[in-house]
Amino acid sequence: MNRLQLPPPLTDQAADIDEVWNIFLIGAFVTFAFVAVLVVYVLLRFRRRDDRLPRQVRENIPVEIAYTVIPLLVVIALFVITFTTVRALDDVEDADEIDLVVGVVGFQWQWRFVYPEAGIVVTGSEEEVPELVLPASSTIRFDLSSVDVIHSFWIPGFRFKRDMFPNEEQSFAVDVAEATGTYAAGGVCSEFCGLDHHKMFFDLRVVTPAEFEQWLTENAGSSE
Amino acid sequence: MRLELIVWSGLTLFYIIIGAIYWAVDGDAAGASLLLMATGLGGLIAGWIWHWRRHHDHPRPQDRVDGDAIDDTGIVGVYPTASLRPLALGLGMTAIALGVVLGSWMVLVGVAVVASQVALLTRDADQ
Amino acid sequence: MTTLDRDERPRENDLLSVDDFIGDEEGTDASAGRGLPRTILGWVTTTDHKAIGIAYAVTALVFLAIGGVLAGIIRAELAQPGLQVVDEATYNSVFTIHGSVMVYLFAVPFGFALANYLVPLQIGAPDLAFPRLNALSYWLFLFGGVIMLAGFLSDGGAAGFGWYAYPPLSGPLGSPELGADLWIIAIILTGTSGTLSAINIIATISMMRAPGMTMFRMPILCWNLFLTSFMVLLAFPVLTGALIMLEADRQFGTHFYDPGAGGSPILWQHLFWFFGHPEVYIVALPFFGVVTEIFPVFARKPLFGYKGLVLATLTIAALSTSVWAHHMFVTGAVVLPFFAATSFLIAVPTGVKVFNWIGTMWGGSISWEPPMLFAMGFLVTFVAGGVTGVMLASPTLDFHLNDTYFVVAHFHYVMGGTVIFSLFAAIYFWWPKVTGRMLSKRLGQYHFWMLVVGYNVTFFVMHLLGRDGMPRRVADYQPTDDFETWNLISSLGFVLLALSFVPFLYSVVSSFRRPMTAGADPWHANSLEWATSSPPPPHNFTWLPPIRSERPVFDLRWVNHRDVSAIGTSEAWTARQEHDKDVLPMHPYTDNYDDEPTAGARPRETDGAS
Repeated sequence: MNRLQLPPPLTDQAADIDEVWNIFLIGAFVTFAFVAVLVVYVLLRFRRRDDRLPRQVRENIPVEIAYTVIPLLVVIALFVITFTTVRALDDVEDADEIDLVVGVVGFQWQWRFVYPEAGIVVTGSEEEVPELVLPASSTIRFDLSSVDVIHSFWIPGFRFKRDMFPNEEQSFAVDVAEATGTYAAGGVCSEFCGLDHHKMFFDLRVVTPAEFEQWLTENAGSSE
Repeated sequence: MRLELIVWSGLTLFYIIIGAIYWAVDGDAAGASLLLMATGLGGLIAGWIWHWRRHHDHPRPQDRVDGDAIDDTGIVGVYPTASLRPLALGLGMTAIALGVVLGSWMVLVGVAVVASQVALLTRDADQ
Repeated sequence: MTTLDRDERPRENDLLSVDDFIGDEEGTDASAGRGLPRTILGWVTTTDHKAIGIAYAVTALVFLAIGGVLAGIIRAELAQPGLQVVDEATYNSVFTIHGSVMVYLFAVPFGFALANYLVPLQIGAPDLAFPRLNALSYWLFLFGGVIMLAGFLSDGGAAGFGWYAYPPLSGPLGSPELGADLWIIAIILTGTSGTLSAINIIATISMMRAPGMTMFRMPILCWNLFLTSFMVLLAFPVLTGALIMLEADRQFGTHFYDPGAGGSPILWQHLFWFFGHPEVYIVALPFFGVVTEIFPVFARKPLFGYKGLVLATLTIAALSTSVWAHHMFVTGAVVLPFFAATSFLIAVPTGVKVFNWIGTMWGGSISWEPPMLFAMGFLVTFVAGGVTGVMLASPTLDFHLNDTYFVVAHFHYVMGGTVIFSLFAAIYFWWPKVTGRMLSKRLGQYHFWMLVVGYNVTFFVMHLLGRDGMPRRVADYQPTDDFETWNLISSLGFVLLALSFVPFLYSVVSSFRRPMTAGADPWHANSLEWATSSPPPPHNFTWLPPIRSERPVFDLRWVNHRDVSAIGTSEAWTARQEHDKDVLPMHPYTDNYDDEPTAGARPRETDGAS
């Protein structure tokens, strides 16, 4: 049996998102189980035993109001929980303390990563999948764009993706957490972009800030 | 037709409100325009029903809770029996649409077919 | 209605039967498929809503089979890593056309099949308001479907940009092949077809109901089709317009969606999803209507909360056009709180409907015929899909889950669960009305259980794959991705799902070897279509019962029990004695009115049961 391969949350925001996921998952299971149990109960308890006509009940206003109002309250609560995290995601982008800016360019059907301050460009090709190297414990802003069709930058470890549009740049920022690691195919294009969309992935390597500085120095000014 | 009027007016009102909210939260221009046009669609139908009700002050048999078959005897309406018009019109319309891709000759053929069918339909209606 | 103790509740041993009132026209042979065309020319020129409804249904089911074959190719390819079955370009066309066929050529047209066949019958009308327009709608649908599939025969293959056709990928540079243009033209035609049908349905329901059939006595299926038609009027022209703009970009050098020249790919997304989200409710609502007809019949109780259901459906119809950009949360270009709020809100009326359905069964007397089995299958599958929909309504979670197999799982549970299970509920339920024969109950059970197991095995594991990191629309995945096991399980589930059609097809074929003996009302059902013969005669009714509730046929059967039939039924029945001979039947079915009981026995006073 294969293990589930979702990486642990790699950013602080991802950890928050995972908590929201758990709340929604429990809610989903509880709701489904409630309805399923009701259905099974109804099917067993009220199965046809004779040809007598049952009581012809057409309505029950208090019950109907209850099952309108209670779900309404539940979704309001879910909305509030959702927007606490979404606002937190926005806050990171507006923060002054961006440690690193990484440019991400998508093209059919690979990636280019640009580290503008260090003058490093990493370009992937069909034969060689590029590696995105990031420092842990840092606030990183990603500037996304595309040169042809719509692509989407998705790192499952971030629990986050953002579409990349041609002729338009947009950004998001995250606080990468402490854990380091190497993630084969840690990032993937998730907007269908044509023929080799399924090959448009990249490797991800999160290293300590010291190792990252070293990597920058070793590769300074290079374009692969 | 009171209930139909309520339904369509309710929908129109909904779109006015939701369109206003969307515009207020800086929704995109396309979406806001579409919601505005939805108001127009609901309003068109609601307006027609309102106008109809002004000219018909008695309830139709189908709107009466005590309505029964005797209230609606005689010819209910005109139901055209078998007709070639739909198939021919469909072919003509398809030719026009396909002609945009495959060549303007096909558009011309389609236009001719549609025009002839419309003429035949009009003639049938006048009889 | 009075409340009776369990022991005092009436038994069905002195009920009237519709068959007593309609009879056969003298000299006609019921087994001759009365009323339907008999020659090819007849079928090609028909304007009869029943014939057109059957044509829509058969055509839609052929497209379902085609979409299913395409799904089989997808599952065969994804069962193992590596490209074994087709190359990438073909795979991309396969999933594009699979989605397009299922949505545009099967699900929506089958909804129109139901509308065509059942609306006039359920409201007591002789046909739809505009019969020739109705036939035109069918032809545009058929021609559109053929054109879309013709893409496979063209140079460059069928359209391969996903069923939502995002530019620039769908633009002149992204997809220059002819198949893409054919796809666009096809949907312009099917969209026009649907718009015309919607006009027809709204006009029919507004203007042609039988006397006494007020809006609140109309079957919920008709309400749903009425509101679906409103959504079609709102949404389909938007798509048609957006497609015309896309085709103009491709053929005439415009730049609506071309970012390099002042256009906007996001514009396409707004226009497409303004159509696309109502579209999924357009698909779902008719099928919700189907099960709403079935639960009361097989639970032997009236629908619970009729007006609540109408209000819930109205709310869904209105809200569905206000949620569209939840498909665009990850673009970074939409107002997240607005769309998250409306998307969460739409779960509430949907939940109300689920509880109304359960409330209909509560306290009932439930039997397990195939229509009821499939309606139950729908209910459970749909709720599972609905809860994942609430998860996706949250941008927090959608940022991770969008464009992954989690979404594929979600929509197959809601759309597939609704459409596929309710499709069979509808077919098993109305088969006797349309063909005069019943389908085998035993084969229906085999069909149902194979479908339930196959369906869940195929699609449940996709939730895990999506959460795990598998994106959508990928022809292949790497062995190192660890997606292999779940994909293989899904593909095996699909085999069972496909095999579930075998007992169904066998049942269909063998039913035609039996004579037409179903009778007018084999299920002891509620609505007006069961007040005429099976199959119905031309122009549908030779006789109409009085309509005093949303269950005129039920009230007719119980007319001798004033405490059971709707208030006013027995008064109307009595009044019938005076005028029936002058008015009814609508077409004479016997020479001697004095002999045949055109209005049944006089209603008796109930014997002390109060």
